[in-house]
Amino acid sequence: MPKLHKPELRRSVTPWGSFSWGYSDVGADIFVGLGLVLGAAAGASNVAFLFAGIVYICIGLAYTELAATYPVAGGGQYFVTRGLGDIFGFIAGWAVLLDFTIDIALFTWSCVEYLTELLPVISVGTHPWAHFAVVISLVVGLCVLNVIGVRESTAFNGIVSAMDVVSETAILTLGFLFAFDPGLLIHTMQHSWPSPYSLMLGTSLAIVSFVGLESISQAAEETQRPASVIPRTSIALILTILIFALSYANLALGMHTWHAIPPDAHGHAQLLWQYLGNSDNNGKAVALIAEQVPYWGALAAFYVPVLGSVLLLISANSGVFGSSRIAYAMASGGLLPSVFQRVHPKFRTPTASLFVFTGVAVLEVIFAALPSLSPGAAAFYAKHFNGEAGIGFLGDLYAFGAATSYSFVFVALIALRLTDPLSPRKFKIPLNVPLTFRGERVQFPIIGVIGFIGIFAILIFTLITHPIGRIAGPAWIIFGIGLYLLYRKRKKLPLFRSHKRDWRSEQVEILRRAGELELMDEYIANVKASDARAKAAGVTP
Amino acid sequence: MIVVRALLAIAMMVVGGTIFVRMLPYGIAQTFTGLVLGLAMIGLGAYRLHQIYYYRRSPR
Repeated sequence: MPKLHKPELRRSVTPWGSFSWGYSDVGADIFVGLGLVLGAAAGASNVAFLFAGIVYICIGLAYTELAATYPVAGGGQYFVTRGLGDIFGFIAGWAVLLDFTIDIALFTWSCVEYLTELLPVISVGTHPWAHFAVVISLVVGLCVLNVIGVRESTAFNGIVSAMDVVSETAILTLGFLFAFDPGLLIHTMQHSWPSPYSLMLGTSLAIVSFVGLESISQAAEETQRPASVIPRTSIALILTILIFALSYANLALGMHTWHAIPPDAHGHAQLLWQYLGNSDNNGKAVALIAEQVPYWGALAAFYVPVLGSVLLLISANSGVFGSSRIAYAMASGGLLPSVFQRVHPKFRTPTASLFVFTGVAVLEVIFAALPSLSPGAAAFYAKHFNGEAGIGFLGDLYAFGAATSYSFVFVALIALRLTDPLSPRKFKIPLNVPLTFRGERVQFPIIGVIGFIGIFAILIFTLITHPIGRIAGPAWIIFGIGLYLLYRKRKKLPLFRSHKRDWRSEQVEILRRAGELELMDEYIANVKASDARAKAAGVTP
Repeated sequence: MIVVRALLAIAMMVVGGTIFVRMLPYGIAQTFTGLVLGLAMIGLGAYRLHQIYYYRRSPR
């Protein structure tokens, strides 16, 4: 009987496709994050964005090196499993799964909110059931799009990513050319500097604006020549997103407005950053700042709500894609049941993962919508969740999940540099200290340590400043660990230790499947040389 | 197409340089984020130029 080949993910993601997968996820975050950060960090918002941005650069470099070295679906979860073992890999993957399912719920919800500017009939305030029905329909539609295949989804992402890059560039360029005043920026920073607590809150929210870079590494198994393409697209994406975030923050603090700013609820005059950061406007800050850009503002007032909704929708689409790929990879590694590894025979997409985690997102949408649909539920939320709506609850968890999984990725980067020096790294993070570890020459990454300190600080800020996040976030992790232990016990796999894998053979197979044959040959040569050195020294390899 | 892409990269470097030069007189401490922004734009433009040069004969 001929041996049947297990279906593999199709390699159809091009360099632009890889960029747009990352951009579609990270690019929309500023639409949600800008107003929140301005509301919290006030005159130090640009500093909050800069601190989070520096950490984000370290995260980006770590992901770039790891995804180019190990181009498999699963991203951070796979790297942590390989570097630190099964249980830590599961925790990192479980935290990212939380983020991606929230990404689907939160960004689809926000997308419909933007649409209400043009279609008041779906406003959550006046027609909550219509709003709820549209959100659910969009989530289901995105799931179907992803089941059909990655090529279709990548084309969809690529078009809207290009539109957004052009639009944001136009808004920011015109803002800096015609309305930006460095003197006003200095004045705002000096007179509106926040308290340390507010600055911590703002910084923890600012990292939300940079979540999603791992989409590139999650698409690595479907990217053509990943070791070459991923470093190119990742570096361009890191710089693009950093530029947009810093530009918006500096503009918001130092821009002369084109139109008069309306007074606040008490009739007091307010500055642009106060107007953008107040609770009525912080969900649409990018649209409002675009309206204040000279010449372009009149047009921006019309199209930016549409652009915002489209971008938020593609970010939600990235959430559907990312969650299914993480689950696929976790199942491949024995961390989740093998049903999540099932690939559709025709479309070659992980259908079971797509259906389950889109289902989780639907549950989260229901959780978020309950207060608007039922007065009884609203009263329950007010009593038990400090009056926060479901979306606020999810937003807290978003920062927690990202900071947790990124912390593990930095540790995994350092561990893999020490334990797997033989894998060829086509892209290597700069600033390394050469040393000898277990008889092999290795490069210890200084930037990995700096990044870990930065993201761990943000995790601490999140736990200090988000009262719901510090309870529900760890609760999600503990719930996941419980499920993991049950599954491992049932399958008679080691509970806290990793089951044995032949990483060397797996690495050869990974590089072969990626089409990186030169790197595969280099890896095999490195392994042979290492074994010969070990034999000469009288050590069993 | 390659000329347009190169011109866009150069334009980004010019805008980044302009932001950097406009902010520098106000002091490094006060305008640090703006200076980083200018440098990041110069860096991205230079990176794009390098990419265009390096991959000029390759469709990928």
